[in-house]
Amino acid sequence: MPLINIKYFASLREKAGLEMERMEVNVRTYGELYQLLDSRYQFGLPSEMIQVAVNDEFSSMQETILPEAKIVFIPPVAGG
Amino acid sequence: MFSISSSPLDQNQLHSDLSNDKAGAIVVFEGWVRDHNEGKKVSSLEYQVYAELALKEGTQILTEALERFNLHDILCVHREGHLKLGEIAIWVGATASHRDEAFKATRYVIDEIKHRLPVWKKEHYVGHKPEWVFCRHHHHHVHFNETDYYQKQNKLVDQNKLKSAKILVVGAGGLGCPALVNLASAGIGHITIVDPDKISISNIHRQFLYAPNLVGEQKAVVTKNRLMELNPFIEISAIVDYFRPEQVRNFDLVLDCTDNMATKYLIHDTCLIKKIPLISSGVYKFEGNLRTFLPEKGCLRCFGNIPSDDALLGNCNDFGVLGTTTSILGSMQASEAITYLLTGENESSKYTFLFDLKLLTPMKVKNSARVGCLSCADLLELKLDELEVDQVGERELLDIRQMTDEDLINFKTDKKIVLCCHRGHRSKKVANQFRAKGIEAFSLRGGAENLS
Repeated sequence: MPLINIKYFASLREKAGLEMERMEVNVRTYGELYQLLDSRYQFGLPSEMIQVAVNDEFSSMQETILPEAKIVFIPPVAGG
Repeated sequence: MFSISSSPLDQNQLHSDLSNDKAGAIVVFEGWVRDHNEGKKVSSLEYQVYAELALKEGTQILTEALERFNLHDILCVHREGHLKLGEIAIWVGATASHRDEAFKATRYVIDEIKHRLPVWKKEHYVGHKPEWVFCRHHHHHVHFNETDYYQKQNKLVDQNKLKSAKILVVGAGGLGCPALVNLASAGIGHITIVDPDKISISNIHRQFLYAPNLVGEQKAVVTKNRLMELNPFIEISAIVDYFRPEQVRNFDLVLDCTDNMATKYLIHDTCLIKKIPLISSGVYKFEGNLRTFLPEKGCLRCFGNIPSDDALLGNCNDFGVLGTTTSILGSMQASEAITYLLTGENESSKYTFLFDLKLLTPMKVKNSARVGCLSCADLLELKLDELEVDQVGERELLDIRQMTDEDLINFKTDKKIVLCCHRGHRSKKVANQFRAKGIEAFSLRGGAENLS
């Protein structure tokens, strides 16, 4: 099971109640990871609206989770 | 009391409108179109008046005159449109029991009008190009020259590049105000502002181009006027409307300063299709993001994202917003715009920046175009350096140099393939045919000559 680091941004951070966390997961893709976290923290935003960055680079929710990945879930931000 | 006229003024009529047996004096001021200005021979004048605001302001000035001075009546008419030499551009008349009050009031009104009325004057010269002069600052700015205006930045920028640039700014709100002020004062030569909204009292805390006395006015128009005051050496136009794709033409750059995801995606997709660089920003409480989208260098849809539902996200009304956040992010958009115009690139085209202004910890995420993105990449053709496994995924290289047209028609695969021919022309054609058959095919740009 890969050990990963997750960082949250904007509204996701508030819902999660933390800025980052480190965990061991037994899901395969970033999309599945998001679903898992969504059911835990009730983000309320479907994964198609969320950008995922892996090791400081944008990636796809369909990609397989890399061990020790630094993952950031970024919700759309639209105020102005 | 105060009015604007598009036809020549009738002095006799105006005079008799003021006639009053109790008045002991009338003082009339007439402003005429003269034949010279700043050493140039003037042939005619064109007045453009921002009517709604001018009527309000003009009436206000006359009310002030009535309150300050002991008058019977006061009347003022300002012309708009094209005026010939000798025509009356403005007429002010005040009646009073005693001449002194009438003199003072007339003087007060003409001075205040020169300073406060939103009126532009285009002077047509003999042997020179016509020039717009903002009357409010007419007396000041004609003594200044453009080079001095940019004196403190000329070691940093190529002013000509900024002067020739055309920028569209969508949204004149929290992000738009700081972005626009910085762009205008830096001397971006052509700025177009799109905003459908009117100023409301709750905008002003972060939208610093506005003030309580302007509540109800159109943001785009007020902004245009404010920026013309700020920098008389540039051109500004206002579009009072929602953003529409057809507004995007001939621009070097678009700034998305809007506050909702539906519009952000519409702007994003429009710029993608029209291949116009876009600098986008959004804020959430004390956080904001910043990204420049350059044609074919990655887009919002690269990784399958879809436009977000604004109802799910909420807006500034729901989560709150502070002027410091929007001011910083809007200024950064302007800064990135200037860097891009000067150098053809900027940092936020390489990385998306996510700022948390409470923690002051910037986070940056590398932007890249996903090869095969249906929205942004020049999909059909791949360059050699895009053939690396991590970018292309599992694609097979298919050399079609020895394959006949018939071979190609019968070719079947369920894999992704990159076609390669001699120079990349035939492979491009075949890639198109393959795609029509449902094969995910690409063409190697430049062909096999590139491989050796």
